Amino acid sequence: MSESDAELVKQARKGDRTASDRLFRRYWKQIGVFIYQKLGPRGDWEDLLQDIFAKAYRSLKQLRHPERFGPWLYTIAGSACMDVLRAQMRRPDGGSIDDVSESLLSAPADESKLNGETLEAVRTAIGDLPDNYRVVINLRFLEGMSAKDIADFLGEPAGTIRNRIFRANRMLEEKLKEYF
Amino acid sequence: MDWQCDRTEDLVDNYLAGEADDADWDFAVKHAEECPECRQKLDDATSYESLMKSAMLAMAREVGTRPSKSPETFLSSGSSRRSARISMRRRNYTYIAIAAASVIIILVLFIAYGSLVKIKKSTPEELARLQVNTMSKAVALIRHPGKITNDRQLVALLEPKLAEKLKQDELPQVKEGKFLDPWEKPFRVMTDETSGRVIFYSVGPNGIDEGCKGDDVFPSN
Repeated sequence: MSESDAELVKQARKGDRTASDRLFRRYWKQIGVFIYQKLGPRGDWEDLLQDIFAKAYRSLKQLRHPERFGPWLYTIAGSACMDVLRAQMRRPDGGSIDDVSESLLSAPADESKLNGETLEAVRTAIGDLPDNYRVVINLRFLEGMSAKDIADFLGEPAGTIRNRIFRANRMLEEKLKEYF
Repeated sequence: MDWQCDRTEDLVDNYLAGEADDADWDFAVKHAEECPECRQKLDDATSYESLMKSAMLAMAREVGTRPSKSPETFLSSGSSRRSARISMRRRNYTYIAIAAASVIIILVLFIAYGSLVKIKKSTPEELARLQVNTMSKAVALIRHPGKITNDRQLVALLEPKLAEKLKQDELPQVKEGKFLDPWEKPFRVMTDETSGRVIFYSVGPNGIDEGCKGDDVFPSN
Protein backbone atom coordinates (compact mmCIF):
# COMPACT_ATOMS: atom_id res chain seq x y z
CA MET A 1 0.00 0.00 0.00
CA SER A 2 1.43 3.36 -1.00
CA GLU A 3 2.08 5.94 1.67
CA SER A 4 -0.21 8.94 1.93
CA ASP A 5 0.88 12.41 0.94
CA ALA A 6 0.89 13.45 4.60
CA GLU A 7 3.29 10.64 5.56
CA LEU A 8 5.63 11.46 2.69
CA VAL A 9 5.55 15.17 3.55
CA LYS A 10 6.49 14.41 7.16
CA GLN A 11 9.39 12.21 6.06
CA ALA A 12 10.53 14.76 3.48
CA ARG A 13 10.54 17.47 6.13
CA LYS A 14 12.97 15.37 8.14
CA GLY A 15 15.30 15.35 5.15
CA ASP A 16 14.30 12.03 3.61
CA ARG A 17 15.12 12.61 -0.06
CA THR A 18 13.46 9.36 -1.13
CA ALA A 19 10.18 10.59 0.33
CA SER A 20 10.40 13.94 -1.43
CA ASP A 21 11.32 12.23 -4.71
CA ARG A 22 8.29 9.94 -4.44
CA LEU A 23 6.06 12.83 -3.53
CA PHE A 24 7.07 14.90 -6.51
CA ARG A 25 7.07 11.98 -8.96
CA ARG A 26 3.51 11.31 -7.81
CA TYR A 27 2.42 14.78 -8.85
CA TRP A 28 4.66 15.30 -11.88
CA LYS A 29 2.03 14.34 -14.44
CA GLN A 30 -0.88 16.13 -12.75
CA ILE A 31 0.90 19.42 -12.21
CA GLY A 32 2.67 19.09 -15.54
CA VAL A 33 -0.63 18.82 -17.42
CA PHE A 34 -2.05 21.62 -15.29
CA ILE A 35 0.62 24.10 -16.36
CA TYR A 36 0.87 22.68 -19.87
CA GLN A 37 -2.80 23.52 -20.39
CA LYS A 38 -2.14 27.10 -19.39
CA LEU A 39 1.15 27.69 -21.19
CA GLY A 40 0.76 25.38 -24.17
CA PRO A 41 3.47 23.49 -25.99
CA ARG A 42 5.39 26.65 -26.76
CA GLY A 43 6.10 27.40 -23.11
CA ASP A 44 9.10 26.21 -21.18
CA TRP A 45 6.70 24.32 -18.97
CA GLU A 46 9.18 21.61 -18.00
CA ASP A 47 11.57 24.15 -16.53
CA LEU A 48 8.65 25.85 -14.84
CA LEU A 49 7.54 22.51 -13.45
CA GLN A 50 10.96 21.94 -11.93
CA ASP A 51 10.88 25.42 -10.43
CA ILE A 52 7.44 24.79 -8.94
CA PHE A 53 8.61 21.57 -7.31
CA ALA A 54 11.82 23.19 -6.10
CA LYS A 55 9.80 26.02 -4.57
CA ALA A 56 7.41 23.57 -2.94
CA TYR A 57 10.34 21.60 -1.58
CA ARG A 58 11.92 24.68 -0.05
CA SER A 59 8.56 25.74 1.45
CA LEU A 60 7.57 22.30 2.70
CA LYS A 61 8.02 23.30 6.34
CA GLN A 62 5.49 26.09 5.90
CA LEU A 63 2.75 23.66 4.88
CA ARG A 64 0.39 23.59 7.87
CA HIS A 65 -1.67 20.59 6.82
CA PRO A 66 0.52 17.90 5.23
CA GLU A 67 -2.57 16.01 4.11
CA ARG A 68 -3.38 18.94 1.83
CA PHE A 69 -0.10 18.79 -0.04
CA GLY A 70 -1.83 18.23 -3.42
CA PRO A 71 -4.12 21.28 -3.33
CA TRP A 72 -1.23 23.35 -1.97
CA LEU A 73 0.93 22.28 -4.91
CA TYR A 74 -1.85 23.27 -7.33
CA THR A 75 -1.95 26.72 -5.70
CA ILE A 76 1.79 27.16 -6.18
CA ALA A 77 1.49 25.99 -9.79
CA GLY A 78 -1.43 28.34 -10.54
CA SER A 79 0.51 31.27 -9.14
CA ALA A 80 3.65 30.33 -11.09
CA CYS A 81 1.61 30.11 -14.33
CA MET A 82 0.21 33.57 -13.75
CA ASP A 83 3.71 34.96 -13.22
CA VAL A 84 4.86 33.44 -16.52
CA LEU A 85 1.81 34.68 -18.42
CA ARG A 86 2.21 38.17 -17.00
CA ALA A 87 5.86 38.15 -18.07
CA GLN A 88 4.86 36.93 -21.56
CA MET A 89 2.31 39.72 -21.88
CA ARG A 90 5.00 42.27 -21.06
CA ARG A 91 7.25 40.79 -23.73
CA PRO A 92 6.41 42.05 -27.23
CA ASP A 93 7.25 38.69 -28.81
CA GLY A 94 5.38 36.71 -26.12
CA GLY A 95 4.00 33.62 -27.76
CA SER A 96 2.05 32.96 -30.90
CA ILE A 97 0.07 30.11 -32.35
CA ASP A 98 2.91 29.59 -34.81
CA ASP A 99 5.00 28.35 -31.92
CA VAL A 100 2.83 25.27 -31.41
CA SER A 101 5.15 22.31 -31.55
CA GLU A 102 5.28 20.17 -34.65
CA SER A 103 4.76 17.04 -32.60
CA LEU A 104 1.32 18.19 -31.53
CA LEU A 105 0.19 19.46 -34.90
CA SER A 106 1.16 16.19 -36.47
CA ALA A 107 -0.17 13.98 -33.69
CA PRO A 108 -1.41 10.70 -35.15
CA ALA A 109 -5.17 10.92 -35.54
CA ASP A 110 -5.78 7.19 -35.59
CA GLU A 111 -4.29 6.51 -32.15
CA SER A 112 -6.03 9.12 -30.06
CA LYS A 113 -8.67 10.20 -32.57
CA LEU A 114 -7.30 13.66 -32.01
CA ASN A 115 -5.56 15.81 -34.49
CA GLY A 116 -3.36 18.72 -33.55
CA GLU A 117 -6.11 21.26 -34.06
CA THR A 118 -8.59 19.42 -31.83
CA LEU A 119 -6.03 18.90 -29.11
CA GLU A 120 -5.03 22.55 -29.20
CA ALA A 121 -8.72 23.54 -29.03
CA VAL A 122 -9.27 21.34 -25.98
CA ARG A 123 -6.08 22.57 -24.34
CA THR A 124 -7.05 26.19 -24.92
CA ALA A 125 -10.61 25.66 -23.69
CA ILE A 126 -9.38 24.00 -20.50
CA GLY A 127 -6.59 26.53 -20.12
CA ASP A 128 -9.14 29.35 -20.22
CA LEU A 129 -11.10 27.93 -17.30
CA PRO A 130 -10.60 29.44 -13.85
CA ASP A 131 -7.93 27.51 -11.95
CA ASN A 132 -10.36 25.95 -9.46
CA TYR A 133 -12.50 24.63 -12.34
CA ARG A 134 -9.44 23.37 -14.17
CA VAL A 135 -8.23 21.44 -11.13
CA VAL A 136 -11.49 19.51 -10.83
CA ILE A 137 -11.66 18.82 -14.57
CA ASN A 138 -8.11 17.46 -14.53
CA LEU A 139 -8.73 15.31 -11.50
CA ARG A 140 -11.91 14.02 -13.10
CA PHE A 141 -10.66 13.20 -16.59
CA LEU A 142 -6.93 12.79 -16.12
CA GLU A 143 -6.90 11.01 -12.79
CA GLY A 144 -10.34 9.41 -13.20
CA MET A 145 -11.47 10.61 -9.79
CA SER A 146 -15.15 10.94 -8.91
CA ALA A 147 -16.67 14.13 -7.50
CA LYS A 148 -16.58 12.54 -4.04
CA ASP A 149 -12.88 11.61 -4.37
CA ILE A 150 -12.06 15.11 -5.59
CA ALA A 151 -13.93 16.64 -2.67
CA ASP A 152 -11.90 14.51 -0.25
CA PHE A 153 -8.67 15.41 -2.01
CA LEU A 154 -9.35 19.14 -1.99
CA GLY A 155 -11.00 19.16 1.42
CA GLU A 156 -14.16 20.80 0.14
CA PRO A 157 -17.84 19.79 0.33
CA ALA A 158 -18.89 17.19 -2.28
CA GLY A 159 -21.85 19.33 -3.36
CA THR A 160 -19.53 22.24 -4.14
CA ILE A 161 -17.29 20.02 -6.22
CA ARG A 162 -20.24 18.45 -8.11
CA ASN A 163 -21.51 21.91 -8.92
CA ARG A 164 -18.05 23.01 -10.07
CA ILE A 165 -17.67 19.95 -12.33
CA PHE A 166 -21.14 20.54 -13.75
CA ARG A 167 -20.38 24.18 -14.58
CA ALA A 168 -16.94 23.41 -15.99
CA ASN A 169 -18.42 20.69 -18.22
CA ARG A 170 -21.08 23.06 -19.49
CA MET A 171 -18.47 25.68 -20.36
CA LEU A 172 -16.27 23.16 -22.13
CA GLU A 173 -19.15 21.53 -24.03
CA GLU A 174 -20.18 24.93 -25.26
CA LYS A 175 -16.71 25.74 -26.55
CA LEU A 176 -15.93 22.30 -27.93
CA LYS A 177 -19.27 21.16 -29.39
CA GLU A 178 -17.88 21.11 -32.93
CA TYR A 179 -15.14 18.68 -31.88
CA PHE A 180 -17.26 15.79 -30.52
CA MET B 1 -40.05 16.28 -21.31
CA ASP B 2 -41.30 13.71 -18.81
CA TRP B 3 -39.80 12.37 -15.62
CA GLN B 4 -37.83 9.76 -17.61
CA CYS B 5 -36.08 12.52 -19.53
CA ASP B 6 -35.38 14.40 -16.25
CA ARG B 7 -33.87 11.27 -14.75
CA THR B 8 -31.74 10.74 -17.87
CA GLU B 9 -30.48 14.32 -17.70
CA ASP B 10 -29.49 13.86 -14.06
CA LEU B 11 -27.70 10.70 -15.06
CA VAL B 12 -25.69 12.55 -17.67
CA ASP B 13 -24.51 15.08 -15.06
CA ASN B 14 -23.68 12.31 -12.60
CA TYR B 15 -21.90 10.36 -15.34
CA LEU B 16 -19.66 13.32 -16.17
CA ALA B 17 -19.00 13.79 -12.46
CA GLY B 18 -17.89 10.14 -12.25
CA GLU B 19 -20.81 9.14 -10.08
CA ALA B 20 -23.21 7.36 -12.42
CA ASP B 21 -25.22 4.62 -10.81
CA ASP B 22 -25.46 1.32 -12.77
CA ALA B 23 -29.21 1.13 -12.27
CA ASP B 24 -29.68 4.69 -13.49
CA TRP B 25 -27.46 3.99 -16.48
CA ASP B 26 -29.45 0.92 -17.49
CA PHE B 27 -32.61 2.91 -17.14
CA ALA B 28 -31.30 5.77 -19.30
CA VAL B 29 -30.08 3.46 -22.04
CA LYS B 30 -33.46 1.78 -22.17
CA HIS B 31 -35.25 5.11 -22.23
CA ALA B 32 -32.93 6.44 -24.97
CA GLU B 33 -34.08 3.68 -27.30
CA GLU B 34 -37.44 5.37 -27.39
CA CYS B 35 -36.38 9.02 -26.94
CA PRO B 36 -34.15 10.49 -29.70
CA GLU B 37 -33.40 13.63 -27.65
CA CYS B 38 -32.12 11.66 -24.69
CA ARG B 39 -30.22 9.33 -27.00
CA GLN B 40 -28.48 12.40 -28.39
CA LYS B 41 -27.67 13.61 -24.87
CA LEU B 42 -26.18 10.25 -23.93
CA ASP B 43 -24.17 10.16 -27.16
CA ASP B 44 -22.93 13.72 -26.60
CA ALA B 45 -21.94 12.94 -23.01
CA THR B 46 -19.96 9.83 -23.95
CA SER B 47 -18.33 11.62 -26.93
CA TYR B 48 -17.44 14.57 -24.72
CA GLU B 49 -15.99 12.29 -22.06
CA SER B 50 -14.01 10.41 -24.70
CA LEU B 51 -12.65 13.67 -26.13
CA MET B 52 -11.62 14.91 -22.70
CA LYS B 53 -9.91 11.66 -21.73
CA SER B 54 -8.09 11.42 -25.08
CA ALA B 55 -6.96 15.03 -24.83
CA MET B 56 -5.79 14.53 -21.23
CA LEU B 57 -3.84 11.43 -22.28
CA ALA B 58 -2.22 13.32 -25.15
CA MET B 59 -1.24 16.16 -22.84
CA ALA B 60 0.08 13.71 -20.26
CA ARG B 61 2.16 12.05 -22.99
CA GLU B 62 3.58 15.43 -23.90
CA VAL B 63 4.45 16.15 -20.28
CA GLY B 64 5.70 12.66 -19.50
CA THR B 65 4.84 10.67 -16.44
CA ARG B 66 8.06 11.45 -14.63
CA PRO B 67 10.80 14.07 -14.66
CA SER B 68 13.46 13.69 -17.33
CA LYS B 69 16.03 13.94 -14.55
CA SER B 70 16.00 12.94 -10.92
CA PRO B 71 14.05 15.35 -8.70
CA GLU B 72 17.12 15.40 -6.46
CA THR B 73 18.96 17.42 -9.09
CA PHE B 74 16.54 20.33 -9.05
CA LEU B 75 14.59 20.13 -5.77
CA SER B 76 17.05 21.77 -3.43
CA SER B 77 18.71 24.10 -5.88
CA GLY B 78 15.84 24.92 -8.19
CA SER B 79 18.48 24.90 -10.90
CA SER B 80 16.30 24.35 -13.93
CA ARG B 81 17.40 25.84 -17.22
CA ARG B 82 14.81 28.56 -16.63
CA SER B 83 16.18 29.36 -13.17
CA ALA B 84 19.68 29.14 -14.53
CA ARG B 85 18.76 31.55 -17.31
CA ILE B 86 17.24 33.97 -14.81
CA SER B 87 20.27 33.62 -12.51
CA MET B 88 22.62 34.11 -15.44
CA ARG B 89 20.66 37.15 -16.56
CA ARG B 90 20.84 38.56 -13.03
CA ARG B 91 24.55 37.76 -12.86
CA ASN B 92 25.09 39.46 -16.20
CA TYR B 93 23.25 42.54 -15.00
CA THR B 94 25.41 42.54 -11.87
CA TYR B 95 28.60 42.29 -13.92
CA ILE B 96 27.46 45.08 -16.22
CA ALA B 97 26.56 47.24 -13.22
CA ILE B 98 29.96 46.56 -11.60
CA ALA B 99 31.77 47.31 -14.85
CA ALA B 100 29.79 50.53 -15.35
CA ALA B 101 30.42 51.60 -11.75
CA SER B 102 34.12 50.86 -12.14
CA VAL B 103 34.34 52.92 -15.31
CA ILE B 104 32.53 55.80 -13.62
CA ILE B 105 34.79 55.62 -10.55
CA ILE B 106 37.91 55.54 -12.73
CA LEU B 107 36.63 58.49 -14.74
CA VAL B 108 35.81 60.46 -11.59
CA LEU B 109 39.25 59.71 -10.11
CA PHE B 110 40.92 60.60 -13.39
CA ILE B 111 39.04 63.88 -13.62
CA ALA B 112 39.70 64.65 -9.95
CA TYR B 113 43.41 63.90 -10.36
CA GLY B 114 43.53 65.99 -13.50
CA SER B 115 41.84 68.84 -11.66
CA LEU B 116 44.30 68.59 -8.78
CA VAL B 117 47.25 68.61 -11.14
CA LYS B 118 45.70 71.48 -12.98
CA ILE B 119 45.20 73.43 -9.76
CA LYS B 120 48.77 72.68 -8.77
CA LYS B 121 50.04 73.85 -12.12
CA SER B 122 47.80 76.84 -12.13
CA THR B 123 49.11 78.21 -8.85
CA PRO B 124 52.17 80.28 -9.76
CA GLU B 125 52.99 80.99 -6.10
CA GLU B 126 53.31 77.27 -5.36
CA LEU B 127 55.37 76.70 -8.47
CA ALA B 128 57.59 79.67 -7.65
CA ARG B 129 58.05 78.36 -4.08
CA LEU B 130 59.06 74.95 -5.39
CA GLN B 131 61.48 76.50 -7.85
CA VAL B 132 63.21 78.83 -5.38
CA ASN B 133 63.53 76.03 -2.83
CA THR B 134 65.09 73.70 -5.36
CA MET B 135 67.31 76.32 -6.91
CA SER B 136 68.56 77.51 -3.51
CA LYS B 137 69.41 73.97 -2.45
CA ALA B 138 71.06 73.26 -5.79
CA VAL B 139 73.22 76.34 -5.70
CA ALA B 140 74.51 75.32 -2.27
CA LEU B 141 75.94 72.20 -3.88
CA ILE B 142 78.15 74.15 -6.24
CA ARG B 143 81.67 73.74 -4.87
CA HIS B 144 83.24 76.88 -6.19
CA PRO B 145 80.54 79.52 -6.55
CA GLY B 146 83.26 82.16 -6.92
CA LYS B 147 83.94 80.91 -10.44
CA ILE B 148 80.48 81.92 -11.54
CA THR B 149 80.79 85.30 -13.17
CA ASN B 150 77.51 85.62 -15.04
CA ASP B 151 73.94 84.31 -15.20
CA ARG B 152 74.62 82.04 -18.13
CA GLN B 153 77.25 80.12 -16.16
CA LEU B 154 74.83 79.85 -13.26
CA VAL B 155 72.11 78.50 -15.49
CA ALA B 156 74.48 76.04 -17.12
CA LEU B 157 75.58 74.72 -13.73
CA LEU B 158 72.13 74.57 -12.15
CA GLU B 159 70.03 73.25 -15.03
CA PRO B 160 71.27 69.63 -14.80
CA LYS B 161 70.70 69.59 -11.05
CA LEU B 162 67.23 71.05 -11.37
CA ALA B 163 66.36 68.53 -14.05
CA GLU B 164 67.07 65.76 -11.51
CA LYS B 165 64.81 67.27 -8.87
CA LEU B 166 61.94 68.78 -10.86
CA LYS B 167 59.51 67.52 -13.44
CA GLN B 168 59.61 68.90 -16.93
CA ASP B 169 56.70 71.27 -16.35
CA GLU B 170 58.14 72.43 -13.02
CA LEU B 171 61.45 73.56 -14.42
CA PRO B 172 61.88 77.34 -14.56
CA GLN B 173 61.97 78.87 -17.98
CA VAL B 174 65.28 80.14 -19.24
CA LYS B 175 65.39 83.27 -21.32
CA GLU B 176 68.43 85.22 -22.38
CA GLY B 177 70.57 83.22 -20.00
CA LYS B 178 68.35 83.82 -16.97
CA PHE B 179 65.94 81.70 -14.97
CA LEU B 180 62.43 83.19 -15.14
CA ASP B 181 59.77 82.82 -12.46
CA PRO B 182 56.14 81.87 -13.32
CA TRP B 183 55.40 85.54 -14.00
CA GLU B 184 58.31 85.57 -16.43
CA LYS B 185 60.46 87.83 -14.30
CA PRO B 186 64.07 86.84 -13.60
CA PHE B 187 64.72 85.19 -10.26
CA ARG B 188 66.80 87.32 -7.92
CA VAL B 189 69.79 86.10 -5.93
CA MET B 190 70.84 87.27 -2.44
CA THR B 191 72.83 86.03 0.52
CA ASP B 192 70.85 85.23 3.64
CA GLU B 193 72.40 87.27 6.44
CA THR B 194 71.74 84.78 9.21
CA SER B 195 72.77 81.56 7.48
CA GLY B 196 75.14 82.98 4.91
CA ARG B 197 73.47 80.85 2.21
CA VAL B 198 72.93 82.01 -1.31
CA ILE B 199 69.22 81.94 -2.03
CA PHE B 200 67.01 82.53 -5.03
CA TYR B 201 63.73 84.42 -4.70
CA SER B 202 61.00 85.62 -6.98
CA VAL B 203 59.66 89.17 -7.06
CA GLY B 204 56.18 87.73 -6.96
CA PRO B 205 53.02 88.63 -8.85
CA ASN B 206 53.46 92.38 -8.49
CA GLY B 207 56.89 92.21 -10.24
CA ILE B 208 58.45 94.53 -7.62
CA ASP B 209 61.58 93.45 -5.79
CA GLU B 210 60.71 93.93 -2.12
CA GLY B 211 63.75 92.12 -0.77
CA CYS B 212 61.98 88.93 0.26
CA LYS B 213 59.07 90.86 1.69
CA GLY B 214 55.53 91.61 0.52
CA ASP B 215 54.49 89.16 -2.18
CA ASP B 216 58.05 88.07 -2.96
CA VAL B 217 58.39 84.29 -2.99
CA PHE B 218 61.44 83.04 -1.15
CA PRO B 219 62.65 79.62 0.07
CA SER B 220 60.58 78.16 2.87
CA ASN B 221 63.67 77.05 4.81
